[in-house]
Amino acid sequence: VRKRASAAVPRASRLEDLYLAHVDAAMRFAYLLLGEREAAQDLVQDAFVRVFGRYADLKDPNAFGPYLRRTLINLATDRRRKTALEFQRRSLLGSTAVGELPDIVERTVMRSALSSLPTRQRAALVLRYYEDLSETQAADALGCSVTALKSLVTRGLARLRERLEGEGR
Amino acid sequence: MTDIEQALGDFLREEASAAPHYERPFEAVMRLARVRRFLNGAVAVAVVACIAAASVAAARSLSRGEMRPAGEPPPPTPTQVGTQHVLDDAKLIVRLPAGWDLADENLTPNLTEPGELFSAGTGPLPAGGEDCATIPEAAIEAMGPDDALVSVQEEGGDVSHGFPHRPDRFEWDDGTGVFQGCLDTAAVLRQFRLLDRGRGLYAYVAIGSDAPDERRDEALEIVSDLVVCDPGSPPGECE
Repeated sequence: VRKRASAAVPRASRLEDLYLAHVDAAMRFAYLLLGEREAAQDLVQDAFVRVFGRYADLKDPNAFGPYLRRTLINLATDRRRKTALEFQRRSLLGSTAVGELPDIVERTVMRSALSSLPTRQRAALVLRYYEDLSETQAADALGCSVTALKSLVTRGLARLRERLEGEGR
Repeated sequence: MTDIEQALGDFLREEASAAPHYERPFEAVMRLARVRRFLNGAVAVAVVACIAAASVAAARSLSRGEMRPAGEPPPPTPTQVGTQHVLDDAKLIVRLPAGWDLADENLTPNLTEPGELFSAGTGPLPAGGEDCATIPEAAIEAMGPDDALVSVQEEGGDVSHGFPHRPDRFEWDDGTGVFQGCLDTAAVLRQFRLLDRGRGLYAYVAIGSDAPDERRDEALEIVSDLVVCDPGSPPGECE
Protein backbone atom coordinates (compact mmCIF):
# COMPACT_ATOMS: atom_id res chain seq x y z
CA VAL A 1 0.00 0.00 0.00
CA ARG A 2 2.80 2.35 0.88
CA LYS A 3 4.44 1.72 -2.46
CA ARG A 4 1.26 2.57 -4.37
CA ALA A 5 0.70 5.69 -2.34
CA SER A 6 4.17 6.99 -2.99
CA ALA A 7 3.80 6.29 -6.70
CA ALA A 8 0.59 8.33 -6.84
CA VAL A 9 2.16 11.37 -5.23
CA PRO A 10 4.68 13.01 -7.54
CA ARG A 11 8.16 13.42 -6.21
CA ALA A 12 9.19 16.94 -5.29
CA SER A 13 12.02 16.84 -7.82
CA ARG A 14 9.52 16.13 -10.61
CA LEU A 15 7.39 19.04 -9.47
CA GLU A 16 10.44 21.24 -9.22
CA ASP A 17 11.33 20.37 -12.82
CA LEU A 18 7.83 21.35 -13.90
CA TYR A 19 8.03 24.49 -11.82
CA LEU A 20 11.34 25.55 -13.34
CA ALA A 21 10.11 24.73 -16.84
CA HIS A 22 6.93 26.77 -16.56
CA VAL A 23 7.46 29.53 -14.02
CA ASP A 24 8.89 32.18 -16.35
CA ALA A 25 6.19 31.72 -18.97
CA ALA A 26 3.57 31.69 -16.24
CA MET A 27 4.91 34.94 -14.85
CA ARG A 28 4.87 36.64 -18.25
CA PHE A 29 1.35 35.41 -18.88
CA ALA A 30 0.14 36.54 -15.44
CA TYR A 31 1.76 39.92 -15.92
CA LEU A 32 0.05 40.37 -19.28
CA LEU A 33 -3.26 39.38 -17.71
CA LEU A 34 -3.06 41.69 -14.71
CA GLY A 35 -0.50 44.33 -15.63
CA GLU A 36 0.81 44.54 -12.09
CA ARG A 37 4.00 43.06 -10.73
CA GLU A 38 2.91 42.08 -7.22
CA ALA A 39 -0.50 40.86 -8.36
CA ALA A 40 1.16 38.72 -11.03
CA GLN A 41 3.51 37.18 -8.43
CA ASP A 42 0.55 36.30 -6.22
CA LEU A 43 -1.34 34.88 -9.14
CA VAL A 44 1.54 32.62 -10.18
CA GLN A 45 2.01 31.39 -6.63
CA ASP A 46 -1.71 30.64 -6.22
CA ALA A 47 -1.80 28.85 -9.56
CA PHE A 48 1.16 26.59 -8.78
CA VAL A 49 -0.19 25.83 -5.31
CA ARG A 50 -3.53 24.86 -6.81
CA VAL A 51 -2.11 22.84 -9.69
CA PHE A 52 0.41 21.01 -7.48
CA GLY A 53 -2.45 20.15 -5.12
CA ARG A 54 -4.29 18.48 -7.98
CA TYR A 55 -1.30 17.13 -9.84
CA ALA A 56 -2.11 13.54 -8.89
CA ASP A 57 -5.43 13.91 -10.75
CA LEU A 58 -3.71 15.03 -13.93
CA LYS A 59 -3.82 12.02 -16.23
CA ASP A 60 -1.52 13.44 -18.87
CA PRO A 61 1.64 15.11 -17.51
CA ASN A 62 1.96 16.94 -20.84
CA ALA A 63 -1.25 18.73 -19.98
CA PHE A 64 0.50 20.52 -17.11
CA GLY A 65 1.20 23.68 -19.15
CA PRO A 66 -2.32 24.13 -20.53
CA TYR A 67 -3.78 23.28 -17.12
CA LEU A 68 -1.57 25.86 -15.43
CA ARG A 69 -2.54 28.48 -18.02
CA ARG A 70 -6.21 27.75 -17.55
CA THR A 71 -5.82 28.00 -13.78
CA LEU A 72 -4.09 31.37 -14.20
CA ILE A 73 -7.00 32.64 -16.29
CA ASN A 74 -9.61 31.42 -13.80
CA LEU A 75 -7.75 32.89 -10.85
CA ALA A 76 -7.23 36.18 -12.68
CA THR A 77 -10.94 36.34 -13.45
CA ASP A 78 -11.82 35.71 -9.82
CA ARG A 79 -9.23 38.15 -8.61
CA ARG A 80 -10.44 40.99 -10.77
CA ARG A 81 -14.02 40.25 -9.87
CA LYS A 82 -13.36 40.15 -6.16
CA THR A 83 -11.09 43.10 -5.83
CA ALA A 84 -12.61 45.17 -8.64
CA LEU A 85 -9.12 45.75 -9.81
CA GLU A 86 -8.93 49.18 -11.38
CA PHE A 87 -6.15 50.23 -13.62
CA GLN A 88 -4.42 53.27 -12.23
CA ARG A 89 -2.98 55.29 -14.94
CA ARG A 90 0.72 55.68 -14.46
CA SER A 91 2.55 58.91 -14.67
CA LEU A 92 3.64 59.58 -18.21
CA LEU A 93 6.63 61.71 -17.40
CA GLY A 94 8.51 60.58 -14.32
CA SER A 95 12.14 60.12 -15.19
CA THR A 96 11.47 59.47 -18.85
CA ALA A 97 13.60 61.37 -21.29
CA VAL A 98 11.66 63.66 -23.59
CA GLY A 99 12.84 61.82 -26.68
CA GLU A 100 11.19 58.60 -25.50
CA LEU A 101 7.86 60.23 -24.79
CA PRO A 102 5.83 59.32 -27.90
CA ASP A 103 6.55 55.60 -27.53
CA ILE A 104 5.87 55.66 -23.79
CA VAL A 105 2.60 57.49 -24.34
CA GLU A 106 1.61 54.94 -26.97
CA ARG A 107 2.36 52.05 -24.66
CA THR A 108 0.61 53.65 -21.73
CA VAL A 109 -2.51 54.23 -23.77
CA MET A 110 -2.42 50.63 -25.01
CA ARG A 111 -1.87 49.38 -21.46
CA SER A 112 -4.77 51.46 -20.23
CA ALA A 113 -7.00 50.20 -23.03
CA LEU A 114 -6.08 46.58 -22.33
CA SER A 115 -6.71 47.02 -18.62
CA SER A 116 -10.21 48.23 -19.33
CA LEU A 117 -11.15 44.91 -20.96
CA PRO A 118 -12.89 42.13 -19.04
CA THR A 119 -10.37 39.47 -18.01
CA ARG A 120 -11.52 36.82 -20.46
CA GLN A 121 -11.38 39.21 -23.41
CA ARG A 122 -7.92 40.23 -22.35
CA ALA A 123 -6.88 36.61 -21.89
CA ALA A 124 -8.23 35.75 -25.35
CA LEU A 125 -6.11 38.51 -26.90
CA VAL A 126 -3.00 37.46 -24.99
CA LEU A 127 -3.47 33.83 -26.01
CA ARG A 128 -3.93 34.72 -29.67
CA TYR A 129 -1.49 37.61 -30.15
CA TYR A 130 1.20 36.85 -27.61
CA GLU A 131 1.13 33.10 -27.10
CA ASP A 132 0.27 32.64 -30.80
CA LEU A 133 -2.13 29.83 -30.00
CA SER A 134 -4.54 28.65 -32.67
CA GLU A 135 -8.21 29.44 -32.20
CA THR A 136 -8.85 25.88 -31.07
CA GLN A 137 -5.99 25.93 -28.55
CA ALA A 138 -7.00 29.34 -27.20
CA ALA A 139 -10.63 28.25 -26.89
CA ASP A 140 -9.46 25.17 -25.00
CA ALA A 141 -7.35 27.28 -22.64
CA LEU A 142 -10.35 29.48 -21.92
CA GLY A 143 -12.75 26.56 -21.63
CA CYS A 144 -15.09 27.88 -24.31
CA SER A 145 -16.08 27.09 -27.88
CA VAL A 146 -14.16 28.40 -30.87
CA THR A 147 -17.17 30.56 -31.72
CA ALA A 148 -17.10 32.11 -28.27
CA LEU A 149 -13.35 32.62 -28.54
CA LYS A 150 -13.76 34.41 -31.87
CA SER A 151 -16.39 36.61 -30.30
CA LEU A 152 -14.14 37.45 -27.35
CA VAL A 153 -11.30 38.37 -29.69
CA THR A 154 -13.51 40.43 -32.00
CA ARG A 155 -15.09 42.29 -29.12
CA GLY A 156 -11.74 42.78 -27.43
CA LEU A 157 -10.17 44.22 -30.56
CA ALA A 158 -13.20 46.44 -31.17
CA ARG A 159 -13.02 47.82 -27.65
CA LEU A 160 -9.29 48.35 -27.94
CA ARG A 161 -9.73 50.23 -31.19
CA GLU A 162 -12.51 52.28 -29.62
CA ARG A 163 -10.37 53.17 -26.64
CA LEU A 164 -7.31 53.96 -28.74
CA GLU A 165 -9.30 56.15 -31.11
CA GLY A 166 -10.88 57.84 -28.11
CA GLU A 167 -7.38 58.71 -26.94
CA GLY A 168 -6.64 60.23 -30.33
CA ARG A 169 -4.32 57.46 -31.54
CA MET B 1 -3.28 41.02 -39.88
CA THR B 2 -4.87 44.41 -39.20
CA ASP B 3 -3.06 47.41 -37.79
CA ILE B 4 -4.62 46.95 -34.36
CA GLU B 5 -3.64 43.27 -34.27
CA GLN B 6 -0.09 44.17 -35.28
CA ALA B 7 0.14 46.93 -32.67
CA LEU B 8 -1.29 44.67 -30.00
CA GLY B 9 1.12 41.83 -30.82
CA ASP B 10 4.09 44.21 -30.70
CA PHE B 11 2.90 45.71 -27.45
CA LEU B 12 2.36 42.34 -25.77
CA ARG B 13 5.80 41.08 -26.79
CA GLU B 14 7.41 44.26 -25.42
CA GLU B 15 5.43 44.03 -22.20
CA ALA B 16 6.32 40.36 -21.76
CA SER B 17 10.01 41.08 -22.22
CA ALA B 18 9.71 43.65 -19.45
CA ALA B 19 7.77 41.33 -17.14
CA PRO B 20 9.41 40.89 -13.74
CA HIS B 21 10.94 37.56 -12.78
CA TYR B 22 9.10 35.39 -10.35
CA GLU B 23 10.96 35.83 -7.10
CA ARG B 24 9.45 33.28 -4.76
CA PRO B 25 11.38 30.02 -4.40
CA PHE B 26 9.98 26.63 -5.31
CA GLU B 27 10.20 25.47 -1.67
CA ALA B 28 7.82 28.23 -0.55
CA VAL B 29 5.27 27.22 -3.17
CA MET B 30 5.58 23.56 -2.21
CA ARG B 31 5.08 24.43 1.45
CA LEU B 32 1.84 26.20 0.62
CA ALA B 33 0.75 23.30 -1.60
CA ARG B 34 1.34 20.87 1.28
CA VAL B 35 -0.62 23.08 3.67
CA ARG B 36 -3.46 23.24 1.18
CA ARG B 37 -3.43 19.46 0.73
CA PHE B 38 -3.34 18.97 4.50
CA LEU B 39 -6.30 21.33 4.98
CA ASN B 40 -8.27 19.56 2.26
CA GLY B 41 -7.53 16.27 3.99
CA ALA B 42 -8.53 17.74 7.34
CA VAL B 43 -11.84 18.89 5.92
CA ALA B 44 -12.47 15.40 4.52
CA VAL B 45 -11.68 13.85 7.91
CA ALA B 46 -14.02 16.33 9.62
CA VAL B 47 -16.83 15.47 7.19
CA VAL B 48 -16.35 11.75 7.78
CA ALA B 49 -16.34 12.36 11.54
CA CYS B 50 -19.57 14.37 11.31
CA ILE B 51 -21.25 11.65 9.26
CA ALA B 52 -20.12 9.02 11.74
CA ALA B 53 -21.38 11.10 14.68
CA ALA B 54 -24.71 11.66 12.94
CA SER B 55 -25.03 7.93 12.26
CA VAL B 56 -24.38 7.11 15.91
CA ALA B 57 -26.93 9.71 17.01
CA ALA B 58 -29.51 8.34 14.56
CA ALA B 59 -28.91 4.80 15.77
CA ARG B 60 -29.39 5.89 19.38
CA SER B 61 -32.51 7.81 18.46
CA LEU B 62 -33.88 4.77 16.64
CA SER B 63 -33.22 2.55 19.64
CA ARG B 64 -35.22 5.00 21.80
CA GLY B 65 -38.12 4.90 19.33
CA GLU B 66 -37.75 8.55 18.32
CA MET B 67 -37.53 7.99 14.57
CA ARG B 68 -40.24 9.26 12.23
CA PRO B 69 -42.70 6.84 10.65
CA ALA B 70 -41.57 5.55 7.26
CA GLY B 71 -42.44 7.87 4.38
CA GLU B 72 -42.70 11.01 6.47
CA PRO B 73 -40.29 13.70 5.23
CA PRO B 74 -37.73 14.99 7.68
CA PRO B 75 -38.36 18.40 9.19
CA PRO B 76 -36.15 21.00 7.52
CA THR B 77 -33.18 22.26 9.44
CA PRO B 78 -32.72 26.03 9.52
CA THR B 79 -30.03 25.93 6.84
CA GLN B 80 -32.14 23.79 4.51
CA VAL B 81 -35.24 25.98 4.51
CA GLY B 82 -36.01 27.45 1.13
CA THR B 83 -38.47 30.15 0.23
CA GLN B 84 -41.66 30.24 -1.82
CA HIS B 85 -42.62 33.27 -3.87
CA VAL B 86 -46.06 33.88 -5.33
CA LEU B 87 -45.54 36.15 -8.33
CA ASP B 88 -48.96 37.63 -9.02
CA ASP B 89 -47.90 39.64 -12.06
CA ALA B 90 -46.08 36.74 -13.66
CA LYS B 91 -48.72 34.27 -12.47
CA LEU B 92 -46.13 31.86 -11.20
CA ILE B 93 -45.18 30.28 -7.92
CA VAL B 94 -41.45 29.90 -7.51
CA ARG B 95 -39.76 27.74 -4.89
CA LEU B 96 -36.14 28.56 -4.16
CA PRO B 97 -33.73 26.39 -2.18
CA ALA B 98 -31.77 27.93 0.67
CA GLY B 99 -28.99 30.16 -0.59
CA TRP B 100 -30.94 31.40 -3.61
CA ASP B 101 -32.28 34.92 -4.00
CA LEU B 102 -34.98 36.25 -6.24
CA ALA B 103 -33.84 39.20 -8.37
CA ASP B 104 -35.73 42.31 -7.38
CA GLU B 105 -35.67 43.74 -10.89
CA ASN B 106 -35.86 42.66 -14.51
CA LEU B 107 -32.38 41.44 -15.46
CA THR B 108 -33.05 41.74 -19.21
CA PRO B 109 -34.38 45.30 -19.47
CA ASN B 110 -33.70 45.49 -23.21
CA LEU B 111 -35.81 42.43 -23.97
CA THR B 112 -39.46 42.93 -24.82
CA GLU B 113 -40.46 39.70 -26.56
CA PRO B 114 -40.27 37.24 -24.93
CA GLY B 115 -40.54 38.96 -21.59
CA GLU B 116 -38.71 38.05 -18.40
CA LEU B 117 -40.91 36.70 -15.62
CA PHE B 118 -38.30 36.29 -12.92
CA SER B 119 -34.66 35.49 -12.27
CA ALA B 120 -32.99 33.95 -9.27
CA GLY B 121 -29.45 33.08 -8.40
CA THR B 122 -26.92 32.29 -5.72
CA GLY B 123 -24.63 35.19 -6.60
CA PRO B 124 -24.96 38.90 -7.37
CA LEU B 125 -27.84 39.76 -9.69
CA PRO B 126 -27.05 42.97 -11.59
CA ALA B 127 -29.39 43.87 -14.45
CA GLY B 128 -28.59 44.52 -18.09
CA GLY B 129 -25.44 44.01 -20.08
CA GLU B 130 -23.86 45.45 -23.18
CA ASP B 131 -23.85 42.64 -25.68
CA CYS B 132 -26.68 40.17 -25.08
CA ALA B 133 -30.26 41.41 -25.01
CA THR B 134 -31.97 38.05 -24.69
CA ILE B 135 -30.22 36.69 -21.59
CA PRO B 136 -29.26 38.26 -18.26
CA GLU B 137 -25.72 39.01 -19.38
CA ALA B 138 -24.51 41.13 -16.47
CA ALA B 139 -25.80 38.69 -13.89
CA ILE B 140 -24.26 35.68 -15.64
CA GLU B 141 -20.93 37.48 -15.98
CA ALA B 142 -21.06 38.46 -12.30
CA MET B 143 -21.52 34.84 -11.21
CA GLY B 144 -18.74 33.27 -9.18
CA PRO B 145 -17.41 29.89 -10.28
CA ASP B 146 -19.62 28.13 -7.70
CA ASP B 147 -22.78 30.08 -8.48
CA ALA B 148 -25.86 29.25 -10.51
CA LEU B 149 -28.65 31.31 -12.00
CA VAL B 150 -32.13 30.65 -13.37
CA SER B 151 -34.02 33.11 -15.55
CA VAL B 152 -37.49 32.43 -16.91
CA GLN B 153 -39.09 34.24 -19.84
CA GLU B 154 -42.50 33.93 -21.48
CA GLU B 155 -43.18 33.94 -25.20
CA GLY B 156 -46.31 35.80 -26.24
CA GLY B 157 -48.85 34.87 -28.92
CA ASP B 158 -49.69 31.36 -30.05
CA VAL B 159 -47.19 29.01 -28.47
CA SER B 160 -48.95 25.73 -29.16
CA HIS B 161 -46.14 24.84 -31.55
CA GLY B 162 -42.49 24.92 -30.66
CA PHE B 163 -42.87 24.35 -26.93
CA PRO B 164 -42.87 20.77 -25.64
CA HIS B 165 -45.07 19.84 -22.71
CA ARG B 166 -43.02 19.91 -19.56
CA PRO B 167 -41.70 16.64 -18.15
CA ASP B 168 -42.21 15.66 -14.52
CA ARG B 169 -38.67 16.63 -13.73
CA PHE B 170 -36.09 18.38 -15.85
CA GLU B 171 -32.74 16.75 -16.42
CA TRP B 172 -29.67 18.65 -17.58
CA ASP B 173 -29.77 16.90 -20.93
CA ASP B 174 -33.30 18.13 -21.56
CA GLY B 175 -31.82 21.56 -22.15
CA THR B 176 -30.25 22.83 -25.33
CA GLY B 177 -27.02 24.76 -25.68
CA VAL B 178 -27.21 28.51 -26.04
CA PHE B 179 -24.95 30.71 -28.13
CA GLN B 180 -22.59 32.25 -25.59
CA GLY B 181 -20.50 34.33 -27.93
CA CYS B 182 -21.86 37.53 -26.45
CA LEU B 183 -20.98 36.41 -22.93
CA ASP B 184 -17.69 36.90 -21.13
CA THR B 185 -17.92 33.97 -18.75
CA ALA B 186 -16.80 30.42 -18.12
CA ALA B 187 -20.28 29.50 -16.88
CA VAL B 188 -22.31 27.05 -18.96
CA LEU B 189 -25.76 28.12 -20.12
CA ARG B 190 -28.69 25.96 -21.21
CA GLN B 191 -32.20 26.70 -22.34
CA PHE B 192 -35.23 24.63 -21.36
CA ARG B 193 -38.58 25.12 -23.09
CA LEU B 194 -41.84 24.17 -21.51
CA LEU B 195 -45.53 24.43 -22.30
CA ASP B 196 -47.90 24.53 -19.35
CA ARG B 197 -51.50 25.80 -19.20
CA GLY B 198 -51.10 27.13 -22.70
CA ARG B 199 -48.14 29.26 -21.72
CA GLY B 200 -44.78 28.90 -23.45
CA LEU B 201 -41.79 29.51 -21.19
CA TYR B 202 -38.06 29.57 -21.68
CA ALA B 203 -35.98 28.74 -18.63
CA TYR B 204 -32.32 29.67 -18.87
CA VAL B 205 -30.03 27.90 -16.43
CA ALA B 206 -26.44 29.08 -15.99
CA ILE B 207 -23.99 27.01 -13.96
CA GLY B 208 -20.61 28.31 -12.77
CA SER B 209 -17.49 26.59 -14.04
CA ASP B 210 -16.66 25.03 -10.65
CA ALA B 211 -20.18 24.67 -9.28
CA PRO B 212 -20.85 21.36 -7.53
CA ASP B 213 -23.46 18.97 -8.89
CA GLU B 214 -25.76 19.90 -6.03
CA ARG B 215 -25.91 23.47 -7.32
CA ARG B 216 -26.95 22.29 -10.76
CA ASP B 217 -29.57 20.01 -9.19
CA GLU B 218 -30.96 22.96 -7.24
CA ALA B 219 -31.28 25.00 -10.42
CA LEU B 220 -33.09 22.18 -12.21
CA GLU B 221 -35.29 21.73 -9.16
CA ILE B 222 -36.39 25.35 -9.38
CA VAL B 223 -37.48 24.83 -12.99
CA SER B 224 -39.08 21.47 -12.23
CA ASP B 225 -40.97 22.84 -9.21
CA LEU B 226 -42.18 25.94 -11.00
CA VAL B 227 -45.96 26.27 -10.67
CA VAL B 228 -47.40 27.86 -13.80
CA CYS B 229 -50.78 29.42 -13.16
CA ASP B 230 -53.58 29.86 -15.63
CA PRO B 231 -53.14 33.23 -17.32
CA GLY B 232 -56.65 34.20 -16.24
CA SER B 233 -56.38 33.07 -12.65
CA PRO B 234 -57.03 35.75 -10.04
CA PRO B 235 -54.20 36.63 -7.66
CA GLY B 236 -53.72 34.11 -4.91
CA GLU B 237 -55.71 31.39 -6.67
CA CYS B 238 -53.04 29.65 -8.62
CA GLU B 239 -52.71 26.15 -7.26
